[in-house]
Amino acid sequence: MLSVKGLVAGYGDVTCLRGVSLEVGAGEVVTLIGANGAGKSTTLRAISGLLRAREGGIWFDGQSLAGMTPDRIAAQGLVHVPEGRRIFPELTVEENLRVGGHARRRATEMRDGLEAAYHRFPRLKDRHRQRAGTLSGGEQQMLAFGRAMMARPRLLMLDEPTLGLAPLMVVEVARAVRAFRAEGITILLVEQNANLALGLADRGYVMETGRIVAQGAAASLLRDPDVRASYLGAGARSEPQHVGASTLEGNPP
Amino acid sequence: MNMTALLEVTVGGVAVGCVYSLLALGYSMIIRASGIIHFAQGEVMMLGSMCGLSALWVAPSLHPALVLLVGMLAGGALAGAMELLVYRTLRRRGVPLVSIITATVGFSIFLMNAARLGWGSEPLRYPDMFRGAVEVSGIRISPQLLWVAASGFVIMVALQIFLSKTRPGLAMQAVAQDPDAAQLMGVNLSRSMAATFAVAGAMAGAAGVMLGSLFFSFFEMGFITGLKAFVAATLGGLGSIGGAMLGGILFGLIETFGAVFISSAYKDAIGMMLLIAILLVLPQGLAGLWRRLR
Repeated sequence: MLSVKGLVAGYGDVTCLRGVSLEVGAGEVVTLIGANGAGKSTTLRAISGLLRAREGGIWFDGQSLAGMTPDRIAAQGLVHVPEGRRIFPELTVEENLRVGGHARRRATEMRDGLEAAYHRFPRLKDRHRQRAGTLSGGEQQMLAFGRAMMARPRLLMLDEPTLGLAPLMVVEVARAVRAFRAEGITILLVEQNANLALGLADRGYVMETGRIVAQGAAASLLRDPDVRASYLGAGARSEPQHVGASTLEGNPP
Repeated sequence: MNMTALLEVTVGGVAVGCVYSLLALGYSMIIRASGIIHFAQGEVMMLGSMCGLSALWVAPSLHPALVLLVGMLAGGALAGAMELLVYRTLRRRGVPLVSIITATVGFSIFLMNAARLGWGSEPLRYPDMFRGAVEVSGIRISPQLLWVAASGFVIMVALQIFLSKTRPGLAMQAVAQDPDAAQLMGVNLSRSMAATFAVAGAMAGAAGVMLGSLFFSFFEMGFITGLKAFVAATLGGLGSIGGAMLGGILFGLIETFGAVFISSAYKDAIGMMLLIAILLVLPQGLAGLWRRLR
């Protein structure tokens, strides 16, 4: 569904991506993990058109995205939820959702979208007239998800959705990702919390300094000694490192 | 000062304040969306005024609302074209913001001279669009002033509804707050930016017709008025929509009362001293004060 080949990109004189290639199949949940500064966010920014690729190509459903502006790429159903949520702080919750539904020109389409978003995240309905900047971090993440849903995604790119969230909200985020998947939305997930990400994903890519250094089924990456040592915390016995997959399956506190 | 005079001065201050508000709104919308201080905003207003006046020459019995519309269309088309043909190109070529702002000063001077060529250098009187006077409990108020204040309020309310209820209005706000995120939601950046300039220009065009109908149209009218409206926008808090509306009306009142109680000869100086005082005491303007108090 999404195919990235030999992507080279950067900011100014700095090259952040040195030939990134990855594939995401329809219906898959694929994760991109790696240390801070490895180029994960830059990869997403290049795919969504915020950053112009210097070399390499990106295809979505067989169509090349080269030279397309971000709004046109979003209109294809490739929707990017950027790092830091980036909700519109001075708009109300509902206005944020309406901006997400920019492509919904008819009033009925907009209403259906709002209803679906409120059904999925009832908290947003309670706060629909509140300024988005006054929401808690977790609520802002839900709003970012709801806003992305309004854009009718076929493939969602989620950048660090759990960053800075309380453990309880991390559980909520994981639940939302599973719900997206159940609806048939393909997901490319960037996470620093590799445990969580690999617990949710079918397959994973590991990035280091602008390159893909490992890839495979999520389960086998979880067992890989190198990956464990670098990203899952060597030994991985200590409690905090285990917030991810295992706790998520259990009951929330 | 008796009640009659007080009411007259107040209505006059609010009417002139509405003109500043409409111009200040344009400054604020443009600076929020693009970072540009649009110094040609006053000249967009002046050309709106000239076009409204010309429409009245052609059709002397034209309804005032239509004259206003002519001014808005002219101002909107002009500012939209400036963005599409010049500022956008400069941005795409990576020209620094300071240089783009300098270009807006260039536009201001160019438009002033173009208007002098087209409409001459003499002040041009707007024909009286209203006759008689309105009486409020025995006090007579000029219908011109009431018309200007009422149109100002109607346009500002309409702008608020446009920005918060319509698809292009919300897109404009989103672009102003976070252009990247807005694009990721499918908003076309350059279209939305051009729309922002066009709406800001339409506000200025309306202000021009209003100001012209109170005094006269003049090729230099935009210069000092534009600067004062910039002060009003700063008073309200640059970039704040509500702040620009409030700042404009407040500035109009301060200036009008200053002219009555201190001296009308120095009313421009009073306004400019106010700018420096605001920057020293309230750099974020009324909007910043409101945020701090909340």
